[in-house]
Amino acid sequence: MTNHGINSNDGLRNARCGASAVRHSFVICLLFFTMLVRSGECASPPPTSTPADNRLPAPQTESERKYLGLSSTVERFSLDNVQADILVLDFFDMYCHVCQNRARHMNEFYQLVQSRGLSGRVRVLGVGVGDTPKEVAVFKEKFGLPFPVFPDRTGSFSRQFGKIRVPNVIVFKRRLGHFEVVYQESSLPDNPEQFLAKVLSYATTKISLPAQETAKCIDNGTSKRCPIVLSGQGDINGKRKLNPSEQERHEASK
Amino acid sequence: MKPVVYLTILGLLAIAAAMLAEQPDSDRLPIYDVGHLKPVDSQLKVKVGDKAPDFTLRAVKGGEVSLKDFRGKKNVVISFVPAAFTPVCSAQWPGYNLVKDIFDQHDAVLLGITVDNVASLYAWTQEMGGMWFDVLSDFYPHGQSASKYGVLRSDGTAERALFVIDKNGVVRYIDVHDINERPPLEDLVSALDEVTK
Repeated sequence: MTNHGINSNDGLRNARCGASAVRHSFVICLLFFTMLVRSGECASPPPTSTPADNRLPAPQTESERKYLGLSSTVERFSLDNVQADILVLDFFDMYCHVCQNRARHMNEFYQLVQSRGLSGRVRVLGVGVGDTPKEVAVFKEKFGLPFPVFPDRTGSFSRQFGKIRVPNVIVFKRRLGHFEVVYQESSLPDNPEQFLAKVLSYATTKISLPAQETAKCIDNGTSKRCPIVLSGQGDINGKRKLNPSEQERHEASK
Repeated sequence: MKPVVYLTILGLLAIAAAMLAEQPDSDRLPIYDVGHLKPVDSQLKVKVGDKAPDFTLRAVKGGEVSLKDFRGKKNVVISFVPAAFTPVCSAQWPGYNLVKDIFDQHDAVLLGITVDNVASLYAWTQEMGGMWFDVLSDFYPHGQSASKYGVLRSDGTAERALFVIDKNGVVRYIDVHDINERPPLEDLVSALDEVTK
């Protein structure tokens, strides 16, 4: 497709005016972004038709419940129940060799958060996408994950954030009593120092909601997970895509 | 070319370098998306309690491996998967790679079989970091072993199937799984528990 674009514009190569230079730049941009499209994809979790579910089973151990700020009677919880300012969700799959190779990076990040005295603000959770309870237990044991991990056999929890390709990390910031996505990366950071700086940077970046949309969300009592636009920094697109449930709420609020 | 073009190139290259450095992707496999397939597309030719059909196949590590090599010595788990470089298969064996201790605890070996040739299997398993278990090629005559068990699909790939065979060579467990999904580890461990209790 890119070659076609170049060949079909025979005058481009000989152009000498400013306008042709702009066309050159445009073609180069097209080539560039074509190069950036990534063909490789880690093996996907099993497909299912289960609807999205924003809750996870509460941890079995008291120490993990305490880490998340959950009472001993809670059976299932949503992310909004976690006592923290910033959440870092590590999406993995026990069967994914890339996830296995990179498991230690999230361990290092967790240890760094602890050593910096940030554990009260930043909590780390692991989600085994497509994994059963035994499979996440194996992954936790083999790689000595010190943070709580949860099975998401049907992928219903992960699906609320769109199509998750593992490994994947999502950073959330608490805002108006709810956690909202401020950063997502389909990889795992290999430098914990840089990643922590990035997490803190994104978490302190002002999240600007267009005034009109804010009003609509609040008017409809759906302030939870309203569409957000990252100011300054953001994902590759600069604006996060809405996941299906957000899209529904957004459409309903119109 | 105008300076603006050079500046554009330089700027984009700098951004590309930064993005690629930030999101290392070199260890991701080039996976061919097969889409959603018919869950099962074959007819089993063995059942629990039967003597397991013997086979001799080329191994990626070199030489040949026969099922009868393990008779009286080891329990055997056979994991047929459809093909190399396909989505769910590439997310099944790396998991077994992680749980060698479970197989050891049950005095079992794992034989991974596909209908790919040895060279393809070598490339695929190396991309996944190598496997501790024997990876066998059922390439020629094509799918002969899969056919003996009744797990050769009409398109020439194998089913996603697990067989547990005890030290007497008797089939003790069969799971011809939905090809689009992955068999839970719990089920395999329970089957091995049954064989060794």
